[in-house]
Amino acid sequence: MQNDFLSAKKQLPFLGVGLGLRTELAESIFAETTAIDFLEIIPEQYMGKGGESRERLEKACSLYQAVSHGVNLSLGSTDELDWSYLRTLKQFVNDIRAPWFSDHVCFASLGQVYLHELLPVPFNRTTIEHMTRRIKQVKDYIDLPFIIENTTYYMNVPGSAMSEAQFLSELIEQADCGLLLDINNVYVNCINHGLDPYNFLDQLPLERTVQIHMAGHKQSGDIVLDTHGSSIADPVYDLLKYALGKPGVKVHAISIERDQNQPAFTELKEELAAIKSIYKNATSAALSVKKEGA
Amino acid sequence: MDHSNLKETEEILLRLFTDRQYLYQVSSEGRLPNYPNYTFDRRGASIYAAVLQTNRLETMKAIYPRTARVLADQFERIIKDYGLALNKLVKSETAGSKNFLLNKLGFYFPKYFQLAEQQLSSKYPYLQNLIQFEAATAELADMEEKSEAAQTDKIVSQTARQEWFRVNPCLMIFPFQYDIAELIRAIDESENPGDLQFPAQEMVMLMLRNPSTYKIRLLEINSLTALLIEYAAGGNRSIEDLTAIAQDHCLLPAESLNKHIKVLVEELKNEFVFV
Repeated sequence: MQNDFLSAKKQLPFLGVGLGLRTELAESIFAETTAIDFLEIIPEQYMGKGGESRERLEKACSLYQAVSHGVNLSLGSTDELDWSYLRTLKQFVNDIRAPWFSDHVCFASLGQVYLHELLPVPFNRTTIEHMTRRIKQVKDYIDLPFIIENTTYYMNVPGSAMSEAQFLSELIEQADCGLLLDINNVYVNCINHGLDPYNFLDQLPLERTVQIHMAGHKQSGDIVLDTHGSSIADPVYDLLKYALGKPGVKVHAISIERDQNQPAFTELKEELAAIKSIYKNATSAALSVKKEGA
Repeated sequence: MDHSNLKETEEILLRLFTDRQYLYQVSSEGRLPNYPNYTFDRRGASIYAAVLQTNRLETMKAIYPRTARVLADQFERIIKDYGLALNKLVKSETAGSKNFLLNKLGFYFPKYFQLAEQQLSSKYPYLQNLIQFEAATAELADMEEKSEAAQTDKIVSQTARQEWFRVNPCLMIFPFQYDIAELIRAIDESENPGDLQFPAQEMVMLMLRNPSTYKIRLLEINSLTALLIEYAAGGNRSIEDLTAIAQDHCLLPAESLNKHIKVLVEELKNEFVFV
């Protein structure tokens, strides 16, 4: 097993509990620096931009440590990697002094057309080999620890020959990268595909988890949709507790993604506080176990 | 490594998610060619088809909000067709917008609408101007402030710098065939903007981003002013430089022209055309 990433992971800072920077939340975020530990920034919203966007980014980075969470690397696509995008991304992550950067397990473009959605890839060895090669190219070029996020998938993709958990595990190990564990996506996928989310987490290489995402979802008939437009549900908090309590798990950051239907900022602050409390209890419990075992 | 199967899978998925007729055909048959053991997931494919269309539509409404209001129910159909044409459009253009989001979806729309929607272009002859205005607004709002002229500032002496000026790097000039300011006002105030008609009116409009407030401004200018601004955009300029250019297009004596140019430059500085 490759372990360059695991060695590099030990040097990563602990950022705490943070929030995704969204335009509608910016004013509140800039005013409430005690409630938020760091910001997660979508590079495509700021790359190559001046004006108000640039001003917002500069203010955000002056107040907070930031990480980069992209949506357009399209790691699963059979298009060539977009080197123009990568050059701009490299400049961006250096400008914001991000300790790591991330993107998704998906394809988001084909035939040079960007699709503005994270589309599912078939879970098989061909995809693993293809994405491993691309992840290594991206890592080498950007020269910063790289983590990939498990995405929701609403369709069983033709050509799949393994479970999502097996696919993710093999991909992350072969590519020797980190994991951005989206707990809400774990929940949504397991509910939609009839799986046990705790069993799912047990199968992942959680020791490679650098960052965790927490978000809300929406029930639509008999399907659950990853909308990022509602408060975090109790089962998702329970899964967070479970993941943090697993042996060998050392998380460096947990962030909330709220993309639409923005609530009063006090609600987001309550969610941040709830996550901090869960993290504190989980790490205290882990320390107690360590002491007992020592 | 051969990833032709992966490519084929992605092409089929994309076709399912963007081509309603293909989705319907596969749903009716219940299977996909080349995947004999695969049970077609109609619900999943329909979800992605809906999400992709919604995302495209909402993004395009954000870039072209007034166009969307004028075209009303037809806008959704147009965006669906535009999405299907994107593959060819992307390959046909060598340079796009530097604005990442605009480049990835909205950049090709002005040209596409002109070529593919000729019936609507005839019904709403002002629409091409409106689409161009909205594309330029999106471009200007996020434009980076770099300009070549700014790079040369270092070599200009302090005294000389006071007499020189340069063009706001976030500025565009367009010939319009309709009064775009009036168009925008009328559309914003109307409940049924699709019913509006506008007389043709040739004008040269300057669009710029205010460097302090970031608001986009519209100024009507004459063709000589447009020429002088375009010349000035080439680097740091002085009033004498502009007077020399204007003399080729104007019958006024040099001294008188110089005074007019001084007044013009001050006005343009007040409007943030020159910075």
